[in-house]
Amino acid sequence: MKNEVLRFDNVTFCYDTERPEHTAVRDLSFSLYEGEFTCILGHNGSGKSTVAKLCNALLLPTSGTVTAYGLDTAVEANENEIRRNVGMVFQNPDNQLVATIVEDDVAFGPENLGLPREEIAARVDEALRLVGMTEFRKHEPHRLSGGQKQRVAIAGALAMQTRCLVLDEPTAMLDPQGRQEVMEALFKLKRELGITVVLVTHFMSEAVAADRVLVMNDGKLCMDGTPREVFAHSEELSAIGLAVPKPLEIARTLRQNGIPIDDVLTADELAQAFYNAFT
Amino acid sequence: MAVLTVQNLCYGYAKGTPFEKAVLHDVCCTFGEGEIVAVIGHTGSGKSTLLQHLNGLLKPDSGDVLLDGESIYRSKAALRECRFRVGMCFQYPEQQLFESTVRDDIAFGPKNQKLAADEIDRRVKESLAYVGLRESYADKSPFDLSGGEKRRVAIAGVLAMEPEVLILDEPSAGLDPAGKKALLKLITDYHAQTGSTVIFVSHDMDDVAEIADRVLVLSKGRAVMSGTTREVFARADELLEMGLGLPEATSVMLRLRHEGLDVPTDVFTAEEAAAALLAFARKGAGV
Repeated sequence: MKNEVLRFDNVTFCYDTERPEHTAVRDLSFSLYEGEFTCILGHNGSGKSTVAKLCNALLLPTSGTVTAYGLDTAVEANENEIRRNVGMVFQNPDNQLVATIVEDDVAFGPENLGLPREEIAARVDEALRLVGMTEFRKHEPHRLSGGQKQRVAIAGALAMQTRCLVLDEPTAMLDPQGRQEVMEALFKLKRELGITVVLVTHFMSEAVAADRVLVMNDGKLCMDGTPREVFAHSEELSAIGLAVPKPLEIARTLRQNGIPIDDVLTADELAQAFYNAFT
Repeated sequence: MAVLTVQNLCYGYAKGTPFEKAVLHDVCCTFGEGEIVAVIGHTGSGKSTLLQHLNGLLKPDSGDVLLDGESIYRSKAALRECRFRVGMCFQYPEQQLFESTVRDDIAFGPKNQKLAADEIDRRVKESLAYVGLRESYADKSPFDLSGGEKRRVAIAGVLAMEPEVLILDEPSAGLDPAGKKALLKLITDYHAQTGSTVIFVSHDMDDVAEIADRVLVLSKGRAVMSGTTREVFARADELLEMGLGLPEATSVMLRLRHEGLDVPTDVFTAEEAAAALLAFARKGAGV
């Protein structure tokens, strides 16, 4: 039996209850499980960032319940424990670093817990190691690249011994190399620590590697499955403003023209499939 | 005919302080009339710094920028004229909206150009149309709009000055696939209708492959490659070495080539890749 990490039960969220047309999330129900890497896809304004903020009580549902590790996010007494277990990383790397030295920034959370010095130092060491930022520990955060800043932000959550990371478009403002660094760090955390990752993104190439993909449209969940299952619905995806990965698009065109190639998600898979078909 | 010419440009930040950092070294490049040029390079390669010289927001330590053959720094009047002729749209331009209505925000540039009221009005309407927003948006507050809409309003503010050269720093960053597509269309439409020169920075090689005529590659503050989109992407190994990506379609072809299949690698879009693979398959099957 898989352990449930996050559970949404008939969750509706409205930013302004007097203007119901501003409802961002409508009657949403789903569960996310321990150790899963889940991507939430959707166009701008589909409600995916709202879902991210509902996960650790930054927003509270207008109706329905969000449960994190068995705790209701709407109960104020649960807030600290939920925030400790469910860490959050935002889009803009410049908006979430608070200290003037990288290691102080990572230590910020544990210091607020009032932990002993040695314990804090040990946690900071480990967190920086996990995201590959140890050599930058004495650097000033504002002089780091975007990808490095995001990894410091992730380390900050790890130092709190977070069990689940929710990331709201963490790579949207990064260059290709920065994106790759952050994605590698996330997969490493899942692999080595079994951390549950919830990644909000609109890069299809990031969703391809996830265990599970949720697609949001107009505040509702419209698809839920493995990347392969979800991207099989290319027409529906493009109807709601999303794209399918380019290799899949190429494979489809080839198949329509009589070349026997299955659905593929990455350039590697496509090259392999085409090679197999012709040798 | 080159509209903008950059000659031996050198620039460093924080001169005379311990943080002094040379950003651009002896950069030479030209931007031809009516071209769409993509400027690509790793973060910190000096792309944004170069762009900010193109309408005189920064002054080079040495070297020059010529607009129609004349230095933009030759006088204050020339610099002012250059800013009207070369429109600059920064990264995340939606963060710079400040007026209380969309109309006033878009009209800010034309007002500074001291245009007549009816001309300003015409430009506001036309710019809104260019960016695909209905006229009813003019009376809204820019702060009530979605992120994608805000970005379009900010771009409309630049278009309203009717620049001969339109510069955009990562115009599609952070947009969803549909928003990205709409934005690229907006740029190519404006380009087709006005014949203006467009210079844009992007990290998305698929965007570059789709709309650019020519690509300028910066690396560590130097202009290291310049050529047609086809010529530049043909040098895949060097691009990868610089930490740059390739269009996804090109990656597929390179991998097949690596496996020993004799497929063409100068292929940049999904349609081109499919067509090339199809042709290869038919040839192989003896059809």
